Amino acid sequence: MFKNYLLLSLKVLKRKPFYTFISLFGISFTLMILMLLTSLFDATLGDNQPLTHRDRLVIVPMLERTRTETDTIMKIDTLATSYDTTYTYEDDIVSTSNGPMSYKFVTENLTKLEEAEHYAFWNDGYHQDGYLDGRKFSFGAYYVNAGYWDVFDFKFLHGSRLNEQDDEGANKVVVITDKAAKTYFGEATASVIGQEMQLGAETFRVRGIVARPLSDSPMFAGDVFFPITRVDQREIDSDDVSGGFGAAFLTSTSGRREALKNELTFLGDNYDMSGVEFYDKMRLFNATFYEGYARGILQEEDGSKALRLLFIPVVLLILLFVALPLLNLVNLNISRVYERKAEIGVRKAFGANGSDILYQFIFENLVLTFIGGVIGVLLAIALISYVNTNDLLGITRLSYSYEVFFYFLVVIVLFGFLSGILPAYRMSRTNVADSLR
Amino acid sequence: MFRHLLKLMWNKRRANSMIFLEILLAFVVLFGVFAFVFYNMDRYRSPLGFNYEQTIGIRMDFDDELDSLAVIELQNRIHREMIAMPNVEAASFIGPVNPFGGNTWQTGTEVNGQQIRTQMLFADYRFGETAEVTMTDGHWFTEDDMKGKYIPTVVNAEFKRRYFPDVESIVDSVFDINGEHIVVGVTGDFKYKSNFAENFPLTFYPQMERLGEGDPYEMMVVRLRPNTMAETEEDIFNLLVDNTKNTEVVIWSMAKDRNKANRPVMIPMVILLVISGFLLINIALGLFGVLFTQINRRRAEIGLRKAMGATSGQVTLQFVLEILIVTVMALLLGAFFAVQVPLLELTPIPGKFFYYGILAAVTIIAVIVLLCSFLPSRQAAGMHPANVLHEE
Amino acid sequence: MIEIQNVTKAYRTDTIETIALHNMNLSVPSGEFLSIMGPSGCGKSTLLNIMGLIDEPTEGTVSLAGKPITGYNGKQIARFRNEQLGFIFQSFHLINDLSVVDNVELPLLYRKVGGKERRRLALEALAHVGLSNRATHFPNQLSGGQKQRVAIARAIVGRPNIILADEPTGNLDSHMGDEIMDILLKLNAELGTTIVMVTHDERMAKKTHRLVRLSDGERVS
Repeated sequence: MFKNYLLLSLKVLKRKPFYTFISLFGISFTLMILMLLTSLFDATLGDNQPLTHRDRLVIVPMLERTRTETDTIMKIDTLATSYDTTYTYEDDIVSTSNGPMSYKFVTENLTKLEEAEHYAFWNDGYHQDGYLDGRKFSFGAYYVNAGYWDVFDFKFLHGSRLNEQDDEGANKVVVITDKAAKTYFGEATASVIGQEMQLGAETFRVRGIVARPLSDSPMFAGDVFFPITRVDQREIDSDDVSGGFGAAFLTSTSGRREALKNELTFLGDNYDMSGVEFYDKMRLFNATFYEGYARGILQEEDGSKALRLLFIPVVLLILLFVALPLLNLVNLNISRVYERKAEIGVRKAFGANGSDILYQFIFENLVLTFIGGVIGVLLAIALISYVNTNDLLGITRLSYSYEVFFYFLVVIVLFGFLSGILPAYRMSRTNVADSLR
Repeated sequence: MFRHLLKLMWNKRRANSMIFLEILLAFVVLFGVFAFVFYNMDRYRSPLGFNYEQTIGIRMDFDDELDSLAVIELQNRIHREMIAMPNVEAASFIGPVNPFGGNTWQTGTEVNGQQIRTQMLFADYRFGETAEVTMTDGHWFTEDDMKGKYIPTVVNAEFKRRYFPDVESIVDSVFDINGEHIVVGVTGDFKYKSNFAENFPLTFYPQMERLGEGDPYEMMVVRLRPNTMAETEEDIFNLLVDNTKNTEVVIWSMAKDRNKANRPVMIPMVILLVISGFLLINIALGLFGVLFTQINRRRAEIGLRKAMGATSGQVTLQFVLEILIVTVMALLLGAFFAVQVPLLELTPIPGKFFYYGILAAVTIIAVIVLLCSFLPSRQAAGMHPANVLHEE
Repeated sequence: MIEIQNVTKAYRTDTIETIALHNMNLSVPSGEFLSIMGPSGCGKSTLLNIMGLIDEPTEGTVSLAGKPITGYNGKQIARFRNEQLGFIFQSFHLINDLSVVDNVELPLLYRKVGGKERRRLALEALAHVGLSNRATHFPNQLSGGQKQRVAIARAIVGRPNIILADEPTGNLDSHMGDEIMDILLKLNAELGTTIVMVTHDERMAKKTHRLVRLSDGERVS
C-alpha cells in the first residue's frame, strides 16, 4: 500500500511539473529559512558549550550608582566595553552611572553568596596585539578567575583549565581558543600545550586549548584567557566600586535562580555607600541567561521586559514568514484539488471512501514537502558553511547539530500536514456525481 | 460592470478568502520590512562627514604618572615621529570616544532657556585635517584658538540646524555646555557611530579640559597613503610601544570598523530583504498557479460571456478586476491596521516611514497581482467559446 | 434572416483532418422556427456555432440580416453577437455565484445600459418566462426546468432577432421540456424572433416550422 501511494504521488507530481516546481520552490525556501533560524537560535541560545549550564546561570554584568543632585548637567557615556552612563533626569535631578565592577568589589562582596555554587569573574577590557614575522595578530584578552571555568564549561580540545593556584601566584599561563592557537602557532594540536607565547611584554605558557564558542557573548568573547590576577595592577589596587569586571554565578538548580537574584538585589540596595565618593545609592543588575541576552540586544535594563520586547516581535515575524508560504501552498493545493475532481470521482465510483482520498492526498503532500525539505536542508547546509567560513555574522557561527535536524524533521511533517489537511478535506468530500458530470 | 464584479466576488467570498488572507499577510510583512528599510535608508543618506578610508585607529596607554606637560610632549613626539614615516599622511589624537567604536557621550544642558542635547567628540586641532572634515562655517580649531579667553569648540551642522535655525552664524558665540566654550567652526553633516546612526547635534572638544582632569587623549586617527596599511602597521606599533613603554597598543582599520558598526542594522536588513524577495517570488508563482487553474476552471463561463457578446478584452478585464477587488479589500484592511502603528505612536520611528511603507507595499503587491492575473486571464479570454459551450 | 453559403468546417490536428461540415447551404428567413436534427457528431452543433459567430467556417460565408460576416474583427463580432443573437444551451450554463436576476442581466453588461434599466429589463424577461418570484434565488436552488427558463430569459433580455438553442430540452424530463418548448413557441409567435434549435427529440422538432436533418456534415433533408 505504502509503495503504491508513493509511486502514485510521484506520478502525480511528475504530471504537473509547473505546480510541483512552484510548490517545491516555496517549501524548500521556507524550510531553508526555518533551518537557518533554528541554527542561529541554537548557536546563540542553545545548549552549547560553554553554556551547558545556562539554565542555572545568573549574570551580573554591571552595577548602577545614583546620586540626587541639583545640577542640570546630563551626561551619557556608554563605552562599549564598560557601559559607563552618566545622565541627569530633568525633573528628578538624579545622576546615574552604570558600569562593570572593580576587582575589589567582586572579590570582597560577591564571593559569599548563599545561593551561588560557583563564581565567575572576568575582565574583557583588554586586547593583545602583536606581530609574528610581520604577520599581525589581535587577540581579545580575558582575565578570569578559576571559578570561571566551572561556570562556563568550555570544550577543552587539549590541556586543562586554569586553577586557584594560578590565581594566587599570578602564574604566567594562558588558555587560548583553537583559532588563537592556529593564528599564533599555526596549529591547534596537543603539541601546543606547554609552549610559550609572547603576549605584550611577558611570556606565557599555554595551559589549554578550548574550542571557540559558537556565539558572540561579552561573557566569553576572548581569544586568550589569563589568570585574573595578571590583570593590570591598577585594576587590582583600585578602591572604586566600578571597574572592568563582570560576574556570573551558577545556582544548584534552575529554581534557585530567583533566590540568588533577590539576594543580589538586596546586596546592592543595602550596600554601604559611605565610602563611595559622589554617589549615594547602588543597584546590582542581575539577569538570567535569556534575560541577559535580550537586554544586551535591546539595551533595556529591565530583564523580563527586554525578554518580552525582543521575543514577541521575533516570534510574530517568524510566524508571518512561515504563514505566507504555508498559505500559498494551501491555495495551490486547493486549486489542484479542483483540477483532479474527475480523478477523485472515478476513485470514489470504484469504491474509495472519503478517508482513503484524505490519506492519499495528505500522503502526496508529505512526499512533496519531504522532497522540498531535503532540498531545503541542502541549501541550508551550503549557506551555513558559507556564512561560517566567511564569518559573515561576526564571531557567531551557525551550528548544525542532530538536534537541529530533529526539529527540522518535525517542521517538515508539520508543514506537509498543515498545508495538506484543508485541501484534502475538501477533496475527500467531493461529490461523485458532480465530479463525473 | 464594476458592481456586477463586486457582487460576484462577494458571492464567492468563501473561495476568495484564502487569497484574501495571503495578500493581507503579504502586505503586513512587506509593510514592516519597507518601513524598517526606509527608516534606515533615510539615516544612511545623511553623510558621515569625514574620511575613514586608508585610515587606522589606535589606542595606547600613557603612564598615569605623567603630568600634563609631559603628556603633551609625548604626544608631540609621537606625532612628529609618525608623520616622518613615509606612508603616514596625517595623524591626530582623539579622546575616549572613537568613531565606529560603539561609544556615545551625550550631554544635556540649558542654554538661553533652550534645552540643548548634544553628543560629544574629543579631538585635537589636527583632527579636522586628518579626517578631512568639511567645514560649512568658520574653521576647525587651531593651536592659536587654545590661547584665547574661551576654550574653542566646533559643532556639526545638525547642532546649528536644530537649536539655532534662524541665526545667520553661530561662529564666535559662547555657550555654556560643560563649561563656557566659543564656537569657532561648524562642520557639514557629521555623525560618527555608523552610517545608520541618527544625524544628531554634536560638539567637538579639544584636549585642554580633559587633560586637566588627568584624562589625556590616548587614541589616534592616522591617515595613510593608499594601500600601505599592512606594511606600515607594525612600524607604527613598535613606534608606539617604544614611546609609551607599554605593549597595550591596539590598531584597527577604520574602514573595517565602519562595516562592523553598520552590521547590526545591515545584517537584519539584508536578511529581511532577501527573505521578502523570495517570499514575493513565492507568492507571485503561487498566485499565478492558483489563478491559472481558477480561471481555466471557468472556461464555460468565459465561453458564455463571449457568446453573450463580451470581447476578449472585456473578459480579460473582468478577471483582472475580480482579483483586484479581492486585493484592494485585503490591502484596505491591511492598511487600516498599518496606519495604527504611526497613529498610536507604537514605535519611536517617525510616522512618515510607515506611510511610505504602506505605499511601497501596496504598489508592489498591486504590480504582482496585476501581472499574475493578466497573463492567465488573457490566455483564457483568447479561447474560442465554441470549444467549451457545447457538449455533444 | 440567416444565410449559410457553401460552408465547410474542418478541424485539423497534427495528423488528421476531420470534416465537421461539408459544403453546407442553409437559409433561415426572419421569423422562422427551425429545428435541426441528426445523430451525434453529425456537425449540428458546429453549424449552430457558425451561425452564432462563435466559430468560423473554414470556407464559405455566413450572412446575418443580409450582411455577410467577413472581415469583421473580434470586437465587432462580439458586438454583433451581443445585439443580434441569443443563446440557450443544453446544460444551461448559468453562473452559480450570481443570483438569477444577475444571470439574466449578463448580456446587458456588455452594452451601455444603466444599472436600473438593466434590472428592469431583466425582471421583465423573467416575468416573460414566469420566474419573477425567483429573481433573488441562486441557480443551485432551482430545478432543471427553472434553470432553463432563466437561460431563456437571459437569451431574450437583449431583444435579439435570433435565438440559437442547443438542445434546450436535452437535460429535462418531457414535462419540463414541453414547458420550455411552449415558451420558445410563444416567443416566436408573439415577438417574431427567429429561432434555430438543435434537438434529438422528434416530438419537439415536429412543433417547429421546418426541420433540417444532417448526417456526416451534410444536409440530408
